[in-house]
Amino acid sequence: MELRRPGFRDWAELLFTAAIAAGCAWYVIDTYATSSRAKNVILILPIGVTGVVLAVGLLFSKAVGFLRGSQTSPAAGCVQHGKPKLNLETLQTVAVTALFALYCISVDVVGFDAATFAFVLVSLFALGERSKVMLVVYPASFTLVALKMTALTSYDIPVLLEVMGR
Amino acid sequence: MIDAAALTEALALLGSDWMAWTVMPLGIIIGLIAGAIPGISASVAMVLVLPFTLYMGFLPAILLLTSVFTGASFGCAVPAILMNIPGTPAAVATTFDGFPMTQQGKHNEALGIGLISSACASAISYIFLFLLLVPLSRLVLLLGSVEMFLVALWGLTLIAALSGKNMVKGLVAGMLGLLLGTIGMSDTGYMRGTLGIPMLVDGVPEVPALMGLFVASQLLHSVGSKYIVEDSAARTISFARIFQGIRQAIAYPGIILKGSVVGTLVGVIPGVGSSVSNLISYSVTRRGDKDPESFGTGNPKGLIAAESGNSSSEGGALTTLLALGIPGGGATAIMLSAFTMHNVVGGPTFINDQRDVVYAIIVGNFAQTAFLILLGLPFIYFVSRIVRVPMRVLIPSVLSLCALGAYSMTGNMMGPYVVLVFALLGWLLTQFNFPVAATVVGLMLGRLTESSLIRSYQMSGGELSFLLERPAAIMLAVLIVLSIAWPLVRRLRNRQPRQIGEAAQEG
Repeated sequence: MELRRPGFRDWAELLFTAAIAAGCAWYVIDTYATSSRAKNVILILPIGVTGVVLAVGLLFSKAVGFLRGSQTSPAAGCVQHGKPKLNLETLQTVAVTALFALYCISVDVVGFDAATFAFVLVSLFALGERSKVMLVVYPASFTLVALKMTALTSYDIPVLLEVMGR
Repeated sequence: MIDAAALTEALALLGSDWMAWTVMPLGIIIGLIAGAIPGISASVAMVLVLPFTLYMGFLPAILLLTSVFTGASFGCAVPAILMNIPGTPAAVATTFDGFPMTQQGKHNEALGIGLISSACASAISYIFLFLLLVPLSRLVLLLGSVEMFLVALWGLTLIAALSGKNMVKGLVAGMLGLLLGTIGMSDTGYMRGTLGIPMLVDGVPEVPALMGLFVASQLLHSVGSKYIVEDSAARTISFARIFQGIRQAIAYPGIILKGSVVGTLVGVIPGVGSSVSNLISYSVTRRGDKDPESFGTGNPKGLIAAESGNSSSEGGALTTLLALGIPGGGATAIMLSAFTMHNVVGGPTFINDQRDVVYAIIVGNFAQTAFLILLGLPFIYFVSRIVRVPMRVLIPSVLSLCALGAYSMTGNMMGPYVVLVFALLGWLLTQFNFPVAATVVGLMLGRLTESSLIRSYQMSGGELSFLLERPAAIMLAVLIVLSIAWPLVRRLRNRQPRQIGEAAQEG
């Protein structure tokens, strides 16, 4: 009988659940360290502890699931979880996520106008847009319209000229 | 109960003031557009028009502000339905069934349902205001922290409903949201979970977090799709189908009425408002339905409940403002500013001495619901074209609008960073089958739950018998228990005859 090994996705889920448990535990400890008085911990303590217990329970049940799977599944029915396939969709998701992160970080450096133009342009290309007209005209016009809309709000949006002037 | 003489004077007042009739459609249009843009809420739109009210009489000033509020109450449903973007917390429950309907190609029907539910519920809440202004205002005085805590708890029971088949994951997601909602300085001055970041002192900004959890994570999930509506034949925009949606909503008057009652009562409570009423209305309708599992997959009843819950809270909030002079939230606080600008003080004296003006405001709001339908129809016909935009254009555009909108709300880079962090969190939650909606509910209600619980604890001195001294709290507790237990009892009773029948057949 072959052992069923947990795949990449299983480990990722375990790690994420463990992170939730750890995060809840840290928050409870941080709150308790601030003050153990009822008016500080009255909600956070019971909710946090329950959250940690449930998350650890999820981890435990997942681990037991792996062990049971390895003990009972016959070789013929065994599912091998190999390495995740890097298809175009996964690459595009990672690219857009990374670009969005870069966009948020760069706003304070180059201003919303330049950052928005660059983000929309590069994302369009990463997601498959190849028309040259679309790649130039749309990011420019979108940036202009978006900045005009945000002029309605109370706060000044930092733009390239203003950032350069700092 | 109704002062006929004051009502006659109110109608004469409205009939003679042409400005009142000019500002109402204008306010509706401004509200619709503002509500539809993520990051620009009803409060922001009302603040923008507030200076203009200085040059108007008191009645047109209030009618302008309330029409912006009415327009925005529905306007925020438009991005929620079409793109899964709840522009304000009041539209969170709208996304649960509104966006799945769009994905199924029923965007026209969904928008029609949202429009008519919003308009009808708004009108019903004003009927309550008209008939029960004084009793409702007396009810407000009975409400305190205990009642607010119970209302928040009622909203939290939705977490269990949103958990689907995996209750444990749902509860973990909900508790995570609750804890995230309490980050920052508490009402009692304790600093928790800020990691030394000064911008977290006021807590996690709610709307940017919602944008990240719902919108950005949904968009990252949709990277492989070509359009929101995959079937090209379903990407039509049709008045006929919008009207079909309107007829669908009218076929469920009970749900609209239930949502209106919940929204009005919750809206009356200061500090609670439409962000909680839409969740409670959705939760109550889902629990009471014969097929609760269909909610969250594009069930029109869920959309009707959510929209009627959030729009009817306006009437409730106006009750507290007119009868007691107390603003219940940001929007009514801005209306209170208009009161001050015109040297008017809300409260019992205002209602007694200027009842004709109060009635004129209420009748004017009835007219606003008619304007909402008239102007909302071409508006939704126009904006529903978004389903024809390819995802490769929509994804970067909406993500950057989220970042811009988040910056507009917080005034600093905290907004965009929160969108980014919560987008990643939302994406991971979705990947591993944790319900994002449960985290959202917890996040929205965390601070309210904790602050009302602490105040209740301080007032009661830790004695549970304090609850027995508060009839409103007992009534709310009974309502909550009934809303949870009654559908379960009904389901058990329906199951028993079926089981007996099946056993008889096998015999």
